[in-house]
Amino acid sequence: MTEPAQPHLLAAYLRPERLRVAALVAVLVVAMLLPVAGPVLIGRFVDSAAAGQPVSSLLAIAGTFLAVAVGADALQLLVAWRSVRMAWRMGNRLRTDLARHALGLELAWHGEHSPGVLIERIDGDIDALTKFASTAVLQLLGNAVLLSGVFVVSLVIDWRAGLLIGAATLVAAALMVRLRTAAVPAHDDEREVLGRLYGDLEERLGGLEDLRANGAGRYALHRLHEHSARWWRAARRASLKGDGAYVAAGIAFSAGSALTLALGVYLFRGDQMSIGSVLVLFRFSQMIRQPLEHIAEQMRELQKAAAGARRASRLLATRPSIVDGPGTPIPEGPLTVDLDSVTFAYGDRRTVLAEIDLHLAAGTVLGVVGRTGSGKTTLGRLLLRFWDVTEGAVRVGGVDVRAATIAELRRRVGIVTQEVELLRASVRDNLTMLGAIPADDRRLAEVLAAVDLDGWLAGLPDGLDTVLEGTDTLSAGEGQLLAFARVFLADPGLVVLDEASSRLDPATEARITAAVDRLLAGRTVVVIAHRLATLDRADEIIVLDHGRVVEHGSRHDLAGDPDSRYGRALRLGRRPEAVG
Amino acid sequence: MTATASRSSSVRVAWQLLRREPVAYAISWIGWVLFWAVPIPVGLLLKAILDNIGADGDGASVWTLLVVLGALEVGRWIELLFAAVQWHGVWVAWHTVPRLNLLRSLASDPGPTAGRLPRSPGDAVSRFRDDCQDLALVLDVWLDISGAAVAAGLAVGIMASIDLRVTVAVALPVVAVLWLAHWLGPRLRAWRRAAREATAAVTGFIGDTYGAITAVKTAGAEAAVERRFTELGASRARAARRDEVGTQLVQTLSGATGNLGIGLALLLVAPAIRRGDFTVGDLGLFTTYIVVLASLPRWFGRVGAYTRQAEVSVERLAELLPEPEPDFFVAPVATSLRRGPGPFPAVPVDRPDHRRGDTRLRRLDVRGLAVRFPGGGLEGLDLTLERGSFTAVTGPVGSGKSTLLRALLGLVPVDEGTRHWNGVRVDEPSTFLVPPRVAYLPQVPRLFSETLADTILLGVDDAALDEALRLACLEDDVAEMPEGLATVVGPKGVRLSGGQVQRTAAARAFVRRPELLVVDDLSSALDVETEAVLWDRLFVATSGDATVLVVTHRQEVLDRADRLIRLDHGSAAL
Repeated sequence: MTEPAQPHLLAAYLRPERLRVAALVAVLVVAMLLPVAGPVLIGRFVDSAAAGQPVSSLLAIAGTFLAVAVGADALQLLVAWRSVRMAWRMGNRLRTDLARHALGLELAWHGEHSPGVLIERIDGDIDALTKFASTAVLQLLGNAVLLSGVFVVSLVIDWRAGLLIGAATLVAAALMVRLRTAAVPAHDDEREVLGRLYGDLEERLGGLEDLRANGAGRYALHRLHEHSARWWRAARRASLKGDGAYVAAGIAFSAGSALTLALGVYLFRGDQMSIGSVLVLFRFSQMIRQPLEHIAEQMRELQKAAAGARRASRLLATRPSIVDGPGTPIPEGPLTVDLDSVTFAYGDRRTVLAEIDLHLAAGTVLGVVGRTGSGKTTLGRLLLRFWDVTEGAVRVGGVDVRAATIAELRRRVGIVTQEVELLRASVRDNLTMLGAIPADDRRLAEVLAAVDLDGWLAGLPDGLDTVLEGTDTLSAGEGQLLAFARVFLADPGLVVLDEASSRLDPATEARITAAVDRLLAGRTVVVIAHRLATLDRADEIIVLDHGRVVEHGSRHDLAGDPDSRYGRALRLGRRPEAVG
Repeated sequence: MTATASRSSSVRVAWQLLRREPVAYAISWIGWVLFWAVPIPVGLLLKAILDNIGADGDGASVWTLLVVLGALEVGRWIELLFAAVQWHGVWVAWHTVPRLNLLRSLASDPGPTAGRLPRSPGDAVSRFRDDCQDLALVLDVWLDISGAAVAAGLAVGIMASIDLRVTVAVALPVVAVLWLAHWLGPRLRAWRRAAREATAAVTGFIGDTYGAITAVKTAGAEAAVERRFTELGASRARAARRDEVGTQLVQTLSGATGNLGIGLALLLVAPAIRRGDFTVGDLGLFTTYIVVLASLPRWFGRVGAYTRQAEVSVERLAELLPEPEPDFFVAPVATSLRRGPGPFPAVPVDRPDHRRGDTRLRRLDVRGLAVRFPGGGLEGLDLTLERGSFTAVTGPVGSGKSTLLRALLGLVPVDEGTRHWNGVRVDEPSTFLVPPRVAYLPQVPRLFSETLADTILLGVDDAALDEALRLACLEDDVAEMPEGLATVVGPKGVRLSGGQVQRTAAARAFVRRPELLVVDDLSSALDVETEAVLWDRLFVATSGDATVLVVTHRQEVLDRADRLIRLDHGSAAL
């Protein structure tokens, strides 16, 4: 796999901001150099007092100190404000691009990337990335400026003291890097233990009924005991190693600070340094700990951000294999369906469909039966171009599905599957898919009534504005009916029903059969069957076996033919999976 | 008024939690206060060094003072390492006490399970994780504020003994910021809440739309999704910007108190230092102590914020209890963190023919069972299960079949109705109608990620394991797994097919050798033939003595039934 270099991504999204970034950096350099002036002013204050300068000049130094302190804080606030604005502008641009890109990728890709993973990709990673780009980069830079300022000014005051402070910084930094790296396995271990603890908890909480009904409550509690004891050990070990690194660096700073003070005393006694400078250097030696700790902190953010940027780049680099055709229009009304010697295989795996030739007149209802794995579902999916055929062509209304735009194709061809997918949004948004299918409330009510959901709608507290949340408002069967309604709202010319009634019990199915028949009238329909009874409305039947059509004819003829597989199955009362 | 009351409740709960590990807390407290207090002697030493820098005074030499100062600074860090390791152990304990109490209540206390989790299991995990942590943070921040307050008190005392006027001046900015932070607090909290909600709206929307990606694609709703996403993102950016800048403002102001204090001190001492009444050593001491004082606003802010956060968390944790009584989840409990709980004592499974007394089922009578909820439920249902009988329940979607089983077992709250086991009234079905009396196989069983053997046994002994595998038609699947019963199942192990999950759950019920088997529809995952084999084997194994209550649509299963209950809109039509 080629991995796109991740700096490109940040650079691309930072480019529109480059002037603002430059201005921010300039302000930041000033804001971070001002704190260096503070101790120097205190030193001058002390020395002026010792030298017998007038009180007015002491007051002037004190006033300057105050002004510098307030100025530095004001500038830092300004930087924070501007960088937060920039981070959100940039981050949201990136999020939208990623979301759009992911929406355009084919279903096979989504099958491998759960919504939880996408939340991480689109939001979590970008959060780390923009935090890094806005806050961390600036802080990193600012703290580096502060450290260099301290170092240079102490060198100017006295080269030996400057070198001592520099050495303490280097030793502390080296210790921090070394020991923190050594602590990584211990931290990973703690995270792993915690991951297992919470994973186990989520399963037990999700299966409370199973636990109760199997009398396994005490056992679940025992597992929590075990995991917590493991966490106790892991947390203490990680603390010893991780906090050990922090402490070692702290010791280096403290030793450096004490030595600096000792050096100051020594130099003062040799008349090589003023008392003010002793105080300044001591303050400096205590000021360097925080910036260095911040830098270490931000280096960790950098790693997180780099990993996030890599993943984001990889996502953006994933090209959809299904792309829009030139846009040949698909005719209105019921659609003809043609499969011209269609062969299909997933990637390089075995052939799922082989040389299928199938031609349906507009308005025909086709029933598809065959064992699990015979290729029924794939056949239906090809009509909506969820995949492209390996060989041959699929035409809908005479138009090759690869010639039409995907939006047009999916507007004209609808599908109802046994997987009912609902949004935690209002009934209206669920039916119109957030407004993608234009329809007014009257039309929505009509469609709901057509699938026998008018009673359900009447019972909703806020009608069409009721937010569907979980199964409280909707049973599995009702969800399936809602999915029917959604498809018919778009008024497609071809409908694929893929085991669409499998969640409905026979009684409910019978109740809505008439409604569904009405909705199907005047459309071409491909019914991928679950129960043979589902096929009562079919005009034609095909039987698939190992990706090939082994039987094709009118339902009437096949049902009456004692040698046909369909007819045999019908008489034996078997399930459609068993046909073939 | 109520806010005050609930804040005191979060403090009370935290106090209860503290008392679960009082010695460990005391050790942590001492460790933290020592760490915080070191700058106090350091300031005094610095003053002595600077005042005697030219020539040693009457006391110890400057070099001795320097060595002591260095030792204090270094010793402070070593002490911190001990304190940190010890603290991590207490930190784990603070999380573990509420978790153990809550899980015990959820998984084994009497009463229905349905509705015990206020929302999804994922939400409940976040309560076990984040809300327990919020509570622990209160105990933690008490350590820091104690240290900061002790150090600040000592610092103010020593400074005041040197120059009261300057001390008041350096304390002023600290007090001002404390007041300002207090005044800004409610706004900051509202902004934080808004930002959190806006973020949840965005992540929820991502999860939803990609979860419904087929529907999005088939409806061609990509553009509509993007539009909604951009809108949600824009309002989230507004909320987040306000929140982040507001937080930064308070932080910067808190940090500014140190330098403002030093500036004011310089202005005030200018004449005195000029006269020599205020020494350089005094100035060194003041600049050291002002840093100590300047940390106070931050910790005060955190005490307030964490206490308020914990109020919400205490409420959210209490929602997991049947009665919202917060003291319950900080009740005393053995955490056994240091040594671990040891091996689990397996629960023995009797042979059914050895059972005596009330465990052995003769008959179960259910009378007038009613469960009412909007748009469904059950009404006045009667049912008698004789030993050795096979009862089938059928009916359309939403007619209350699953509800009937779960109500019978006490898993959902029941509005009316009684159950009699061998003629004796059952008061607590949720703890009485469990193995070995009853085993329940839900429609969508949940397995737990562990070895296949463990997820079947869930703590009972393995005497009936082989028999259970055979009854559940699982023995061939196990034989095909390379690691057999030691195969780890679940997201991180082998993914079982839908049928395998259902049969594993069946084995989980069989291994308990229940008197009564309650089964909610096996048909979605088992084909007709396999289901038939399963029932046949059960009858052979129990010599026809099995008592079964099953929900089904399958004619083949209905044909086996001695008794049929046809539900329609919550009532039985026989």
